[in-house]
Amino acid sequence: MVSLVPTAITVLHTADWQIGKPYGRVKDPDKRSRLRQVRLEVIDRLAAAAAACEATAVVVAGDLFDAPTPSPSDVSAVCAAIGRIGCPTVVIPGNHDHGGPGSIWQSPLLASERQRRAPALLVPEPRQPLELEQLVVLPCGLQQRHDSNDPCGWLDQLDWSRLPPDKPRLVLAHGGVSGFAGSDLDDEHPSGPANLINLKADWLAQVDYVALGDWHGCKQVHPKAWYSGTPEADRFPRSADYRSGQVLAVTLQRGAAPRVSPQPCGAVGWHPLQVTLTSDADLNSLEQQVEALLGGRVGADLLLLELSGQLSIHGQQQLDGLLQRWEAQLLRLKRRGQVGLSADAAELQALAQQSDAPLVAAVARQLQQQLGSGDPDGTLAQALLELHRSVADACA
Amino acid sequence: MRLIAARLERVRQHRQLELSFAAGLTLIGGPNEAGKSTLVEALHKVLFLKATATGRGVEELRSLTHGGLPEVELRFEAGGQIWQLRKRFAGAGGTCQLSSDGGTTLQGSSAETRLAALLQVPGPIEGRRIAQLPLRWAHLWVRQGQAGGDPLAAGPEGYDLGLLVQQLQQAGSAAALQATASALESPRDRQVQHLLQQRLDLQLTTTGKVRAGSPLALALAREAEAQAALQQAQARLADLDAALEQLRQIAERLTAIDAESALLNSWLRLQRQSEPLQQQHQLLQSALNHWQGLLQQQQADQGQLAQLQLQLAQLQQQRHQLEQAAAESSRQRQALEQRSQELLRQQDLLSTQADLASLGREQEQLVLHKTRFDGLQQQATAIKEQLQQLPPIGSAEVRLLRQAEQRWSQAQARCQGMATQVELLEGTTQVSLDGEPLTPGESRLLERPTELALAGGTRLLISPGGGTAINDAVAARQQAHDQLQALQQQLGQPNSEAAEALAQQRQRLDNDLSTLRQAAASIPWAQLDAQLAALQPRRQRLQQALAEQGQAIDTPPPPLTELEQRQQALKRELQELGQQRTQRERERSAHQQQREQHDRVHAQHQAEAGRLAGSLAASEQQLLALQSQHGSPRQLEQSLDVLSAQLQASQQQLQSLQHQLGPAASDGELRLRQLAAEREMLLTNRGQQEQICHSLGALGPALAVELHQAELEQAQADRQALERSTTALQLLLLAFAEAQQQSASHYCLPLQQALQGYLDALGLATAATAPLQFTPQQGFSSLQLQRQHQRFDFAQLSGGMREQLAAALRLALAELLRGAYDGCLPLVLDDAFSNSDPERQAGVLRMLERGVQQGVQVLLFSCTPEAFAPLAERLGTRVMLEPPTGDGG
Repeated sequence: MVSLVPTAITVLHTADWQIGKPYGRVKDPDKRSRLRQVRLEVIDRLAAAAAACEATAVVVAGDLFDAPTPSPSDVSAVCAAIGRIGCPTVVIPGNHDHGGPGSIWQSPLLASERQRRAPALLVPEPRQPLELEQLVVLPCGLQQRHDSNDPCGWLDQLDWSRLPPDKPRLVLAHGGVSGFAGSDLDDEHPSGPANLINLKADWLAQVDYVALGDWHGCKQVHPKAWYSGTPEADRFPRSADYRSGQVLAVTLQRGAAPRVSPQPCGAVGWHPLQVTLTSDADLNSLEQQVEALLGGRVGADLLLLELSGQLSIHGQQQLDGLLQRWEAQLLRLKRRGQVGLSADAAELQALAQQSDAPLVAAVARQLQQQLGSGDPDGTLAQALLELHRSVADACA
Repeated sequence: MRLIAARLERVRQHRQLELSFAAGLTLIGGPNEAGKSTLVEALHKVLFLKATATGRGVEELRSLTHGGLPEVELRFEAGGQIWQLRKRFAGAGGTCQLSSDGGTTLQGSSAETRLAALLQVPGPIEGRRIAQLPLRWAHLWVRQGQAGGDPLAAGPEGYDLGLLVQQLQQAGSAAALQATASALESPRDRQVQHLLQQRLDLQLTTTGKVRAGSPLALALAREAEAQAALQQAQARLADLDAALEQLRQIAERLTAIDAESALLNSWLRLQRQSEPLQQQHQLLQSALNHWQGLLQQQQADQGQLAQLQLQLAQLQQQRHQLEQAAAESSRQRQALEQRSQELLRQQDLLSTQADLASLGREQEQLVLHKTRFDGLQQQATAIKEQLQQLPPIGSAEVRLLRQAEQRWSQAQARCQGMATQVELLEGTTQVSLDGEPLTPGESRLLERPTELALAGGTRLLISPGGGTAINDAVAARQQAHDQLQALQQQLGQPNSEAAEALAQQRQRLDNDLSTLRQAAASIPWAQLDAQLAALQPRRQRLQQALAEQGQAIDTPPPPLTELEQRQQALKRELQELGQQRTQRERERSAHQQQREQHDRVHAQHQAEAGRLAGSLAASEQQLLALQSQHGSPRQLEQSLDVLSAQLQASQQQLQSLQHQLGPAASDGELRLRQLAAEREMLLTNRGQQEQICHSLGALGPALAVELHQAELEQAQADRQALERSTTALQLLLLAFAEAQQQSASHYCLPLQQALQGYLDALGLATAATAPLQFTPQQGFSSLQLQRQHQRFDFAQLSGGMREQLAAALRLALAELLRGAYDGCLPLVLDDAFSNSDPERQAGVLRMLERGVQQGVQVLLFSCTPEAFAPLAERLGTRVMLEPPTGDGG
């Protein structure tokens, strides 16, 4: 006896893998390479997640590659990794790896690598429903980097009656959605008003889930529409509710509301830390905070350290020491802000009271006075440091 | 430090010299060569030249007149004690002894060291460093001729800057220094400043430019390189994006081309299908048109042919009329011709008759001429006979005869003039002359010596005068007479009158003959007979002609005038006849032309008629052919309607396609070719763009952009850090310079004040020195005098003013420095005011007095000591040096 109730299936929704992302701002080439490698490694964790939830398919909502012309080695590696996923993987091109002529999606390389290593990798024809065994995928990928047309516009003309009535319908799209788009999505490559998806009620009523890509954080934008975010974080979060390094396990049933379950899968920590140093004593607290964040891991985290406040000359040297240590430990230490020189620091007082160097003392006093009135470009602090250093050298 | 006494032995001209110095002013006077300058040098050398020094410094002290080694002893007060210094300059063997009244006695180098410490100088000057000797206490030791020099010019060493600064610091300005928080400078300060400058010099050149190869220059270069690399990477990325965009556009365009090509192919196919229909339609339509045309043509030809035949009949009739008119005209012409012949005959007869009459008249004229000519010839013959009878004497002969007569007459007169006349007036006796008696009353002319015989045998010889001339005259008369006689004989005439009458007669006859000849000349006498003879044949010919014309020969011809009138009448009639004939000829010609015209028109009409007949026949044949091909015209029209409907359906389809294709449809084949070419081009371009994508994509342009961006940011950060560091160093060095400048003004102030005191004493109350400049390294500089609002550099001042200003500065320096020497310092002035004028002398004295009052011990050397004597007496002592005598001073 055949059940009349449509079967529920689970689909793993992911996007924005951006394989080949260069991480050019990471100075160390080894660390750069490591960061690129972890973007490939996450695919195996996705495969594991897919297996764990017995996913019918993995859908990748665009930007699988970081560029429309990725390196052959990345293509091979991706195909190999996808080949290890135990279910079909449906991919659409995004703005980073748009599907226009000349792109990887039309290259013989991908065709041959897919055939050899990832037969279950499916790249649907643009604007053509892709019917899988238990799922209908409506692909809304991008054929160019910036398209002023709605990538989902073709759904307006779709003859829904020709689709199987019992299979869940999944719209796989890449781009911004009204009210949440443009620079909100991809601050590194703002697309402006292009690639905007209009989540129209007409066709939304005909589908069960909209798997979106482009925004690297996980976000629900409609009861049926989610951004999965990137499975491996690639930037420091700007707000507290920004979550990335996740994949969405979506349970779908034709005609039913989707059930979405975010599952962490990222390996690299991206930590923002904002600290104001009021005295040299605050350095200990800073050290403890950082240690707590890193938990002794080496080469697995990135830290955005935003410092402000003032330190003595000695404190500055101490901070330099700490920064050097963390720089070695971290994949990247990104610094923001500036720690000023404390005008009433003991070293400066000593400098200003040099009895055997009255001219130095006079100059130090004068600079110190000026420093008290502000030092917007840090020149005065630098001058005092230079003076301090020269006096030390002269005494040595 | 105060000098108390000195003793010189064997120093240049001084064998032995001893003198004491006052605490205040010691005036040491003396004439030139008294040894003042030697004393100045000896005092300086005992203090500063090492006793064991060798060379020039010592040699200069040696005496050439006094044996032994130079020795100088000096007693002075320093460090709270009285010291006795004795130096014996013996080269390496020189000795130095320093002892105090406190019991200290030092020898050799320890004595020298102690002495240097007391004088607060680095140490005694050795022989090899003799060049440095004049710098020692140069501000206190003014040698002869150096008084006008700038004391500051020698630099800090020349006036003991270190000590001066120390004194300035300790002097009353210390409080002021503290108050202004102004710093003095220490070696540590200089060291720090030096280190800072070194660090800045690492980055910048002295002119403030970035030093080549410096870290900053390298950072700038790295930044520029990163910038260039980033631009290149961005350009590559942009190229890749552009290539991808091109590919997208190419794909779009290819799709559009394919669509348009499909439409065009449909369009062309439809066009090809409708073409035969069109052609058939055109064929039938043209057949129908032809048919209708033929019928119309046939109708028109027939009408035209009928018209032509009518015209031909009319032409035939007109031609007949023309021929009749021509025959009549020909008849009239013949009649005129006959009448014309008749008149010409009459004209010939009249002409012959007129010729004959003319011949008669001509003959009469010739006979008349002949008669007159014969008469004239007879008269001429008579005249010629008369002429032949007369002798041939002409006017020339008459002239010759008259000339001969005149010559003789003149010769005669001359002979008579020269001859002596003898006239017998009265006598009774015979008187003979050359034998010929002379009668009373008779006179004779004697042309030669003539014997006059008187009665009684008296004879007288009478000779005419003139000597032989009378003989020549007689001879000439004889010759003239002979010539005259010969001419008279030749002409046959007794004299010229007779000859002239004869010549005139001959002349008259010649004239008559000439008149006859002229008359004969008017007559055409030549060939008169021949002419007359020639008339006869002419007459015969004319008569014969008359006879031939039927006229009787013997009938006299009518008069000529009548003949002429008759000829005129005939001529007029002939002219009228000629006009009539011309008229008739024109008529004939016109008739001829009309006939020819008629003939041509006739021929044309006949040809046209023939053509029309042929055309009609051909039309008939074509109509028959059309009929056999298409049946009736009605059937043909029905076939055409069917075809039209098919064509219309095809046209509608084509229009629909045309609407879709737009202007491209106007030449579909061309457009298809264009599209194919464009497609080809696009495919080529696509290949190129794909190649670009492939090659640029392989380079990882996005990675390159990010990497170079990061490099650029790092380079910028490095550069900014270095720039900040450099700016900080500049800021520091500027702060150092400012602090130094600030302290300098405080250093300068006490010196300036002390100097002003001496300038005031000098009487230059309105003058002041401009602010001195001070740097710790360079010391004081810019000694200037300010008067009113104008500043004068030291070098610009007069010689006297330079001496006074320099002395004022030296006094001020000594005043300030004396604090380091127990409140007293000596100032040695050797001829220091030689250029000062007497008016300024009082000021100089006041200045020196102020110096003494301020604790300066003045040793004033002068060769004119009188000016300073009162001051010396008041403030100290006066010493006079005498020039050395033979055995020393």
